[in-house]
Amino acid sequence: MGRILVAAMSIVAAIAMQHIATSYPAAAARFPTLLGYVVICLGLMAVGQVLLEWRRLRLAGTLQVLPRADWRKIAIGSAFTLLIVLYAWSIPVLGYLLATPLMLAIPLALLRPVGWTAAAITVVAVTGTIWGVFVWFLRLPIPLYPGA
Amino acid sequence: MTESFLLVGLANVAQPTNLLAIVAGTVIGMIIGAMPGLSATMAIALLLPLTFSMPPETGLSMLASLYLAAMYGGSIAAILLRTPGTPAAAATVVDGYPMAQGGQAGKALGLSLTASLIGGLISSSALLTIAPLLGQLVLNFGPVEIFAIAVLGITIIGSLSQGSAVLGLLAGTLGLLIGTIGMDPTTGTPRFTFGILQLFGGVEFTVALIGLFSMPQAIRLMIQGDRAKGAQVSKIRDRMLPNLGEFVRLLPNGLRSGVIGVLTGLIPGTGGDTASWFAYNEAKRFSRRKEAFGTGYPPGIVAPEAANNAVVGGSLVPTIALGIPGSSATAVLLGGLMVHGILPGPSLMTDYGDVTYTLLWAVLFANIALFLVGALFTRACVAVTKIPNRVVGPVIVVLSVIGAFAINNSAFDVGLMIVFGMIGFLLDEFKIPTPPLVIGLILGPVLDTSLQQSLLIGQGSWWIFLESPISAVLLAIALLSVVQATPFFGMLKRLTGKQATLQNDRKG
Repeated sequence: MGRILVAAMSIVAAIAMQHIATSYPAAAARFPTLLGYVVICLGLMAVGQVLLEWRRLRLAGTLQVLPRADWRKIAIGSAFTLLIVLYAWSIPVLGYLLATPLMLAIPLALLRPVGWTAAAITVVAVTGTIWGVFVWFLRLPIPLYPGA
Repeated sequence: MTESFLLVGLANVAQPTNLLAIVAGTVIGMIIGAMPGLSATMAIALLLPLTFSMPPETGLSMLASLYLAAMYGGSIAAILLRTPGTPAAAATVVDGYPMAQGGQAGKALGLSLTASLIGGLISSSALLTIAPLLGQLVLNFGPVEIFAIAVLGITIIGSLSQGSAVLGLLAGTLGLLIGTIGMDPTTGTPRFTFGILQLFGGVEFTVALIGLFSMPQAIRLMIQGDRAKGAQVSKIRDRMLPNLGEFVRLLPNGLRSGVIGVLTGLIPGTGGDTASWFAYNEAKRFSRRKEAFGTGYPPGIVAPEAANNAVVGGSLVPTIALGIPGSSATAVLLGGLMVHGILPGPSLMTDYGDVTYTLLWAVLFANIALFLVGALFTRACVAVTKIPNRVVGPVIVVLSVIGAFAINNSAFDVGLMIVFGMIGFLLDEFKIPTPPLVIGLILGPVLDTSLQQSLLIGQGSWWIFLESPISAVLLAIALLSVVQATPFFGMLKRLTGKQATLQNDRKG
């Protein structure tokens, strides 16, 4: 099902890009228009391929259009993705030195892959090493503190 | 010209800073490669931002050594945990893990290290000889031929992708389409930028790479959690390096597998995983003790490890000589060149010859460094394999976010990296290959520019691509690789097969 979704989204994106390209000069529009046609063809072929596979599986009696959901894994994946977005957003707001320990500590505290001492050492060591390499050594202007 | 560049490259790589970068890259690569599930590509993508402030020669030497060392590092987890650190080390598990379980973990790792050296030396020698020759040949190519080479590159990579070839081609074309975002190279028209200034220069390739290779891996590590305990070998008690007699015995297998690795690497789209299984099967075929394979038999470790390290040099040949990356890892290395303002294409061997030849020599030096560093630090790497996945995941995220920010000091790039990360995760989940997308991103601007130039030369006629014999042949091969990948070809084969059976039945 996922492949059909990706193929359909690719076709929609290709059509949209082709439509937008109509407002460009001919030379600028040529390549994206050409690629659009190729994406549409390949997208349709990908859909066809999945449908043929479904037909084969249905005949064999093993067709499962939507796989069984593992809600725990979905919850962990979604929560972690949300944490990534929040981390990226929080660096300019909270600063690296606050945002990074939080980013590291939250999953370590919730999922407990290691004990508290190892978790504390990990947070300090990773935050310190990355600060050392990117800020101290490479002189990257990352906001370090809230409002910095 | 080539000779002088060879000497300049050698002089560059022998600089103390560059040698230090090679050793540092080797240590980092070995550690990252040893962590189960982390690929060499991800290691290069994550460490790419580190090289921004370095001179191109130093940065590229570090990235090349990182790539090689990650390949060997992958075997540490394969041998000790039965979990390949990189996909290229999957074949090493078959004999490496039983040998480690039998109390010879050190010997297994030593064989892997020695085989990696043999494979690596063969591949760097091939790289230093084939790439300049091919580079000379390519200098005679114009935009028409370059367009044909780029088309061939993307179609071969797409059609040879693991899983469905149609999906590989779709991913490659999507990469090309994303590559059109930004200023049009001919007219300067901003395309698909939606008024966002940061997109006028195109999608930052390095940002896309970090997102596509690091984020999906970090999320997957968090979802998977940790493997069941009790399966791993946690100590190395025996001697690591083979003695002279053992070395002589493993040499023919190592040399053969090294050649297999180089040849496999030369074909765009095939990587270390293909080469190592290919070499493993060949070692078994040539062996008098076929039944011993799978029980901790030394040739079963030597073959895949020599082959997967030899792939590095092989896959760098089309990358350096033609500007067409042979694999996702070399695409990231090419990204490293682009970061330093060096554009992929035939000019790599001439306009940027000093840097390119330094990279070629760095591969050779990195192999020697890997052997020395591996002999000293492999025992220490055992500790790395024990780090839980859910500790590694957040660390990858922090490195990726800071790395993406480091490129242009831009929060927009971090957002873009996360978007690419989500795209990469979805593609991985639906078993749609990501490498063609990355290679499409690199080849997009090359194809776009060469297409426009070719049509200008041909005064708007598309026949220009068939007037050049080289271009016509390359495009014909590309067409063939696409056609054989389509379901229609399969249907045609089945149809002709049925007809042949019917005819035989009638005759019978």
